[in-house]
Amino acid sequence: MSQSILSPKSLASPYWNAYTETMDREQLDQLHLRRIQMLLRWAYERVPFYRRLYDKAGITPADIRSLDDFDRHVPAVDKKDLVEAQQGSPPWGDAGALTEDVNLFRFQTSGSTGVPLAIPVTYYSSHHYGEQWTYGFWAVGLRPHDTFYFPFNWGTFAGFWSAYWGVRRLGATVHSGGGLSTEQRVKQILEWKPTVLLATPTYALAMAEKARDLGIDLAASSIRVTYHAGEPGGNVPTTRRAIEEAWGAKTYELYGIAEVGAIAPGCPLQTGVHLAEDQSYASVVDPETGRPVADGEVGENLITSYIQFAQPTIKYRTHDLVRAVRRRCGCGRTWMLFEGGVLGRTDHMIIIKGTNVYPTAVEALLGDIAGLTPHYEIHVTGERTGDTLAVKVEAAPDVPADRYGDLKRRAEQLLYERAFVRIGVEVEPPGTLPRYELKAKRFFDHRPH
Amino acid sequence: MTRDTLVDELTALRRTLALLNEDPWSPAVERSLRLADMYLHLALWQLGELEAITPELTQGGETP
Repeated sequence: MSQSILSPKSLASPYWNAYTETMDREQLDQLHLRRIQMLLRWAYERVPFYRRLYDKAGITPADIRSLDDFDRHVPAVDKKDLVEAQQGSPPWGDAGALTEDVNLFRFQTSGSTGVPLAIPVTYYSSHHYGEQWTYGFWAVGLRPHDTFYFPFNWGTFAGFWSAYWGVRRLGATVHSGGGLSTEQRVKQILEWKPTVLLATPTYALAMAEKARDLGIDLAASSIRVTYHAGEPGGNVPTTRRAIEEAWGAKTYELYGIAEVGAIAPGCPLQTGVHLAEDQSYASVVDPETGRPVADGEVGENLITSYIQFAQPTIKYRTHDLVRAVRRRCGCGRTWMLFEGGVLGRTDHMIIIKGTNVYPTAVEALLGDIAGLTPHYEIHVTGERTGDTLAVKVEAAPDVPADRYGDLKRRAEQLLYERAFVRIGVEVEPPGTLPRYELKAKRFFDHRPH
Repeated sequence: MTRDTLVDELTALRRTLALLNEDPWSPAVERSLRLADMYLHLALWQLGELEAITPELTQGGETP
């Protein structure tokens, strides 16, 4: 007997919600303005941090009558501002809008850049947060009959919790790999036969490596889609290719920010990620001047979430560099496309002899060098003459140690030819560099600050 | 059904749920009806409607 939780008509739809996903730009901008005005009123009335910020800037919500007003007059907010606002009376302090009666979850950022930011999520906002994933799942053909494997320990990282909420919204099946070793997870996948893997790109590759060690070919497994978040990789062509080959699957990524939301699910054409514009607004600006950049130019993504009610994030500095394109995509969506996903970080930018170099660009180039594993580290040091970059890479297991010198020379030559800067390469034996279950630490900044 | 008709029907359902919860039958039933209201709010949101920002604090479609 056939069973389905959705009607045949809905199952045949190429969109989760065609109404907003294909809305024309004028209507989308009207929707943005209404939701921004509502959010500003909410924050001004309920969040002391925002009231002080806007009072100081000499604005009230009523002054914002257009998106141009919003872009020009509303001040941006950084993570450290929210952390400071929380400090007075943790966990939420002056940054929170709601009490514990309403909040359902408490998460936090990793604290890798200082004190962790506490993140509240209400029951209702967990549905919106999850739905941003559902948009992405649906777009690539995943349906309620699919089964999603989570090799995730259900800690305080909101990212894959929100993916779980997305699977619930879709109505699909969750297979939990929590509390298991990588080997146990690989074997569980073979036994339970899920169709989708949700993991960081780094961990998907680490699982594939473990499987190879065990003599298991994951390309022959039941997984047909791998979906990633937490770090760039799913939109770095060489990394994506490595994952797709290892898993015998199509690979997509979602761009999310734990304290804001799972803001941009992947384009099914694998050209980048689409901002879920019914749930957030992006101002893409020059990180130095704060002025909006032209369509198609790289700038910092300042994000405003309509779904983080408990601790609003309004013109929130992500420090992520994106190339935003506002036109109807080949997939049919009108939502803003961040071409290539997140291209880099404003705080990870390296300048070598006047040339800007981004770690994701280096990652993409390394992927073109035969004989390397996908694991690497970038070390940057600052000298009077500018930044110096060195890369640690791993040789693939089938490369003999006496070939490491050749590999180093080939890698340095290719990096010079493609990135136009000298980058030192150190080749390590396979398995030397650390493996990560969540976000990988690949960028090591030794410059004096 | 047109979008506008759907919006009107969903809005009416929210008003009905709010009336039913004026004198709750039990915590269990009240919570279930509040969740039903939350999902109606979500459907209106998906249709681009301007609603109170969180149905957890406002039932029946009141503005914030």
